[in-house]
Amino acid sequence: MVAWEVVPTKRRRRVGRRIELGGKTCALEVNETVRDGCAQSYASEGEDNDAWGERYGGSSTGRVRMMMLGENDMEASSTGWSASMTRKLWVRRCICTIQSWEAGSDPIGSSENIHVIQESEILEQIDRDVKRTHPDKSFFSAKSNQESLRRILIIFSRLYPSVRYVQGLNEVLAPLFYVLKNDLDTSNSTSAEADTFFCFVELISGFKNNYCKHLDNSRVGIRSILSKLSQLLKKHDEELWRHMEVITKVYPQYYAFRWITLLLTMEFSFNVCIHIWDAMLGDPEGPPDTLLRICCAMLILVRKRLLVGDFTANIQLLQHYPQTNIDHLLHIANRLRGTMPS
Amino acid sequence: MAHRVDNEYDYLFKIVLIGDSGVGKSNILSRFTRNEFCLESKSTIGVEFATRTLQVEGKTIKAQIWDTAGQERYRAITSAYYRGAVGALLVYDITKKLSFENINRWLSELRNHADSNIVIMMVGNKSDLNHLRSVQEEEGQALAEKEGLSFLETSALEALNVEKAFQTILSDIHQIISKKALAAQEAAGSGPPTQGTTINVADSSGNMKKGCCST
Repeated sequence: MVAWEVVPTKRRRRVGRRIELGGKTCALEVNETVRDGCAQSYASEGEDNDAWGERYGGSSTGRVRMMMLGENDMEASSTGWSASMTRKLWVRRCICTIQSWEAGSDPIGSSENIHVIQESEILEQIDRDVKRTHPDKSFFSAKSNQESLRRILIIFSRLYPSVRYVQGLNEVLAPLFYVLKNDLDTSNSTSAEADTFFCFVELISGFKNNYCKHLDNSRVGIRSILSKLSQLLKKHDEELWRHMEVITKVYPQYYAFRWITLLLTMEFSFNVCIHIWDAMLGDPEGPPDTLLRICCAMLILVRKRLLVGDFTANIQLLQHYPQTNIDHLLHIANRLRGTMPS
Repeated sequence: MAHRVDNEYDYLFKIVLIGDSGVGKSNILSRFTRNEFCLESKSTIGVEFATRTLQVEGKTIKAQIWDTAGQERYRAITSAYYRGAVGALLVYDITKKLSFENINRWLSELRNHADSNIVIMMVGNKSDLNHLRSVQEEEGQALAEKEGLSFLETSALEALNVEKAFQTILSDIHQIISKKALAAQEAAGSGPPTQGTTINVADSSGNMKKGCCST
C-alpha cells in the first residue's frame, strides 16, 4: 500500500512516497535537490518496514535552522524543479489525501473495522490537541493556522505509520510553524505549511525511535535515551546523580520523559523554547545529543535545590522547571560537549 | 528558603489515575490538589505528579497521586508507574461510550502491572455534561458491582464529588491497612510470647510513616 520509490525523470531523480487511495495514486514527491542534494534509502536498527525512507546528506540540521531563521534559499535552486513546485505539489497532495480520507473512500481505513476505529481516534486526538496548542496565543487560535497544523499532523500520521500520531507532537510542530509562517518574506510565509511539514519530518527523523511504543524496551527506544541522560549526569556530577537516583530515587523516567519526547516545548515559555531550539538545531553535534546535553545542564543548574530536596520536592521541581537564565543554561550545556556516553 | 518540609503524616498512599485520553484525569487531579480546572489543559505526556495531605478517619494521610497519559502509545511507559500504588482511580467520560467500553482493558492493565491488592475505584467524569451523556449512571454502577469496585460520578468542572472520590478510596485503603494491622497483632498475640513483633503494615499495601519532628 505504501512504498518508497525513486522516480527517475529526465531532469533528475525525485524521491517520493506513493500512497494508493481508493484507486487514485497520491504521491508525495520531494525533490532531492531541495533536500540537500543527496537522497538514499536506509534502514537502521529497530526501524519498521515503513522505514523513514530517505535520509538527506549534508547539514540537514543547518537546513532546518536556515529555514527557521528565514534564510531559506530553496527558490534559488538552479534545477528548474523549484521549491515552489514542491510546495504546490504539497498543497494538492494533502488536499487530495484529506478529502478522500474524510469522504471515507480510504481503503486503508475501510478494509478492517479496527482500523476505522483507530483512524477516527487519531483524528479525534489530533483535533483535540490542535485546539489546545498554545490557546493563549492568538496566532494559534486562528482557524486557518489550526487547519494547517491539523493537515500536517494528519498527513504525517499517514506517511509514518510507525509513529502515526503521538500526543504531544502538536507541541513539537508549533514552534516550526510559527517561525516559518511569520517569515517576513511573504513568498516564504505563504508556503509555510508545506515547508513546516518537511522541517517537521526532518526534525522528527532524528528522534523517531522515541515515539515508537514497540521500541520502548529496546536499545534504541526512549528508555535507552533516558538511561543515557542518567549516565551523562553521573559522568559530570556524580554527587547529584547519587542523590537523585540512589538516595531519593528520582529517576529520569519521572521527569525527563516529557523533556525528551516533546523537545522541551512544555518546560519553557514559547519564546524561550524557540531560543533553545535555535541552539539545538544549529549545533554540529545534532539535535538528539544536544538535547540530552541541555537536559543534563537543566539538572546541574538546579543542583543546589535538588541536593536538599526529597522525592516529592525534586519531582515537583523538575516537572515544573523554574524560570532560568537560558544563556547560562546553554553555556553549561556547551561545556558538556563531546562527552556523550555511547 | 521558606518551603515547608511535609513530613508530618501517618500514612503515605500512592494513587494512580488511569483511563482513556481526554476523560479528564488531569483536571480531576488539579481540582483535588489545587482546586483548579482548566478547559484547555494540555495532554499529559508520561506522568504528572502531585500530592495533598488530608485527614481521613482521624489519620493524616498524604496522597501521592500519579496522573498518567491515556494514549495507547504511552501504555508501556505508564504501566511502570503503577508499582507501589495502593489505589487506582479508573476514569471514563460519561459522554464517551468508548472510554467506558475500555474500562475492561484498563482493569486487565492493572491486573498485569499493579499489586494484586490494589484498591480500585471507577469514576464516571464530566457529569456536568448530562445532556451529552452516553453512559447511564446505572450502567456504571452495574459494571462496578460486577467487578467489585466502588463507583462515583464526578464533575471536575463543577467540583462535584471529586473530593468525595478521593476520600472514599483513601478511607477504603486505610480500612484495609488497619484490618491487616489488627490481624497481624492478633496473630502475634495468640502465639507464644516473643520479644516483640514487627508488624509490616507497609508490605505491598502502603507505606507507613510515623509522624516525625523534623520540620
